[in-house]
Amino acid sequence: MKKEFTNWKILLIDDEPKLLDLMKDVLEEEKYHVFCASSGSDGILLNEQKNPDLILLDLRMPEMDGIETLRNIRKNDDKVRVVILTGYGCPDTIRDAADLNVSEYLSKPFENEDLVSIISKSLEL
Amino acid sequence: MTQKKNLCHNDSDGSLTGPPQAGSGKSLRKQADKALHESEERYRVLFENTGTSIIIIEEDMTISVANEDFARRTGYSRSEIEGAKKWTEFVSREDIERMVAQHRQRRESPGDAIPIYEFRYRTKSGELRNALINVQLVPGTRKSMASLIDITERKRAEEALQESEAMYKALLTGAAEGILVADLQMKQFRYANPAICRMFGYTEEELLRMTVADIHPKESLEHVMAEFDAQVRGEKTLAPDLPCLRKDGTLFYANISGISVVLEDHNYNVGFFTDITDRKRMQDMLALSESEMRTTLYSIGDAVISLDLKGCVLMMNPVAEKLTGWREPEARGKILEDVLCIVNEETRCKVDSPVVRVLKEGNVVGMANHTLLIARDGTERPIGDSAAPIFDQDFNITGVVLVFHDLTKEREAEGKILDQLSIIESYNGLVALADMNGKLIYINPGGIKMLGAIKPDEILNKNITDFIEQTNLKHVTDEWIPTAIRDGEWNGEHTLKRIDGTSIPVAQTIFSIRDVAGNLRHMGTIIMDISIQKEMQQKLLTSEKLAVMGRLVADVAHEINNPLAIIIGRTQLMLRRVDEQPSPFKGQLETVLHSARQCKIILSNLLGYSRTIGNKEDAVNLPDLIREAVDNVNYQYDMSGIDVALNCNLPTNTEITGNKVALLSVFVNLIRNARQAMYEKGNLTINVEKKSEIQLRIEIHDTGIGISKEQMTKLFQPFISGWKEHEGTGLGLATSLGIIETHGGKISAESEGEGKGAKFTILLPYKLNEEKTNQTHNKEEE
Repeated sequence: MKKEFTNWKILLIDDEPKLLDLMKDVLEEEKYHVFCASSGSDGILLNEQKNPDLILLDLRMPEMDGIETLRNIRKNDDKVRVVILTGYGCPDTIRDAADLNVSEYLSKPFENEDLVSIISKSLEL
Repeated sequence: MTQKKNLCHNDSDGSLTGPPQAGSGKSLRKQADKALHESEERYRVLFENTGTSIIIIEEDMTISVANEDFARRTGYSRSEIEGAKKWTEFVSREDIERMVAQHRQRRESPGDAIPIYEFRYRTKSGELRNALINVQLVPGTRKSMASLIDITERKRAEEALQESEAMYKALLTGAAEGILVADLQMKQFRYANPAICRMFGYTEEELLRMTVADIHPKESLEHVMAEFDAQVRGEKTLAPDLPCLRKDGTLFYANISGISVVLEDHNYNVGFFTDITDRKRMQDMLALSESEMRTTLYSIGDAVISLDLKGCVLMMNPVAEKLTGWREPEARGKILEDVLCIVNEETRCKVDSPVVRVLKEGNVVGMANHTLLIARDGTERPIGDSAAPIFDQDFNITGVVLVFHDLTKEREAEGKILDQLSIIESYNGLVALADMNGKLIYINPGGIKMLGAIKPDEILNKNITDFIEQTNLKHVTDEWIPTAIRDGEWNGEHTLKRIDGTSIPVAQTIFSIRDVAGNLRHMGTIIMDISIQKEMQQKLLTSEKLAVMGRLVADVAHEINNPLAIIIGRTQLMLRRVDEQPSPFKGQLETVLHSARQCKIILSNLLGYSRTIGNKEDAVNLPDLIREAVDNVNYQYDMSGIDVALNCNLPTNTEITGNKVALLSVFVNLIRNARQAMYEKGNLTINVEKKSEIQLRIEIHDTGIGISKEQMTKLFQPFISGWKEHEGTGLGLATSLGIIETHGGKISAESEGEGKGAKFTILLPYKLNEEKTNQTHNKEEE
């Protein structure tokens, strides 16, 4: 039994392409429209073009990190929901991000179920 | 008459008595008899009255005839002598043998006998007298005639002369004074005694070839000659202080007294020379020492008053003038008590000056302690003084010197010393003094406690090496003390051995104490117990290690997070497909998923351990923590050139929860960096304020060398130090970052560039302790 695609558009921003692929596969199985950006600047651009409902944002990226990317996104878009993807060891940045209207956090490495449940939880808010 | 007859008879054939044979016949005979008689008579008168003693001696030595003179001189009568005595009975024993030999010689070979010689004859009373005898053989007979002249008186005069000459010679030879006899015409020397030879360095022969002009320097000759002539004229006898020239060209001074004498029709001047060089030198020295003494007296730093035997002022120097308020001319002749008013400091009773005691005892006398001098204008000064007698050459006291000095400064210094001593006594570190052998002569109570003793006796007189670990003994003697002596100070850390055998880590300073002249007096030491600091350092080190590990683990974890997330995610996706279609791979995929999840747990545990730093929940007061950090840096480095300002505007109950030691290490690290960046001078400003309701902002701003852009990018990376080699581990900021992050905080740095200082900003979450009051806001500066 195959699920119908929902209207929800999700933008994934992470510098690790293999992780983007995995998350895309997992989320598409849940019938989300998924767009992938492998850097902060690409993410800002895609957000403007595709106007997603939710952004899954990795904090730790070279060049532009997640916080800066989010700060830029928030300049023009205060509606998009944001789930922060982070690892153990940087709880500090979560507090920084708190000012930037973040819906949820997801710690790496995560289970596929965790990813799906956090996304759906955030979208239902 | 018979004697006369005999004599004539005896002498009938002798030339003396022999009458001319004029012819024969009665008339002729008668004529001849008459002539003979006349002749005999003439001889007889001559014989008796010649004034000479005459005797005729037979061959057997019997005196046959003696004249009246002989009898008188010998004290016998002629009848006692003539035909009765031999001549030998009149001769002194010493002369008999010699004269008997002559007697015989004269008869055997008359030409060889000595006719005239001296001998001594003996009188009837036994007196021995000197005589000159002339003996001749009566021609044609074996008889001899001897005439004697008494020479006793002459002999005595001669002996007296000889004696006097000997004395005179001895006098001249032995005289300490030099004697020169010069004739008046040529002024040439005729006599020189040994003393004058010694005085001038010439031999007698040399001097006798010289004149007055040769023994005085040319330039004084005119004066010398005038003195010489004055002496000759009898106008004066003493010519004082005349320069004389020695043979070797050196000069000496002599007083010359001269007497004019006439000897053998010549006029001489006898000069007595007394060398007065020594006397003159002594006089000169005396004059010099007097002037020196005066100069010394007037330039000396102490006040000096000299007094005569009555205690009246003779002299006083400017210092004495200043202290007493009297001018020397005013004070001169006054009684000391009028000029020098001294009272006891405490009782204010008049104190006797030590002068009286000096005069009585003849010793140096010191003044009583706590003496106050009241000057003429009422100024009071504490003084210390002493008085000493002045002696002349014969050790008679001729006066007193009073020396005193103003003790005001010393009193002030004493006060300061007391203050300092009380500080030292209350200091809880160890302060000790040792003599140059290392024996402890002073230790403060803090030191006694530090060494584990209760009373000073347990420590004093021990050697400083008793408190040094065996392994350091060689360092103490070969390095530490020599350095302290050479450079004045040695500083270092080591372990102090306490009297119970336990040891504590200490920081020690050893210094040398010298007197004003620069001679080593004592060695001093200050020792601080640094157990607490050491413990703190140890803790800092541990927490730094943990923080570094946390950083590393976090870095590793981040790198592993992504691959692990992919492994887990992909395996789960594969398992879902496998569920739809049963497959032999299912079990293996489940094993992969299980192992990946285990990795996740291990990683999580590892991160959790490094996070225990942040998990500790001390309540930390931030301003106190920063002050402690400043003290800590100050202990390690010299911060004296750096102005530290702590501006803190917070409620007192503001607290940070976390690991106090770890947080302290962050501030120590940042302040230490700031100190390094400013070298030794600059301003360090620390501002603490609320950033938001949940965060505090701490800014640490220095005016140091700043941070370049290139350095800025790597600032918080581990193992990259911005300091010169060996000056940093490259872990300080990386560790600080780790610690601040585990406390949920943030740290960042700003610098406008090199040379423009740097600012580090830390954000930390805080909370208000509700148990404490929330009313005080304080702003502090350090």
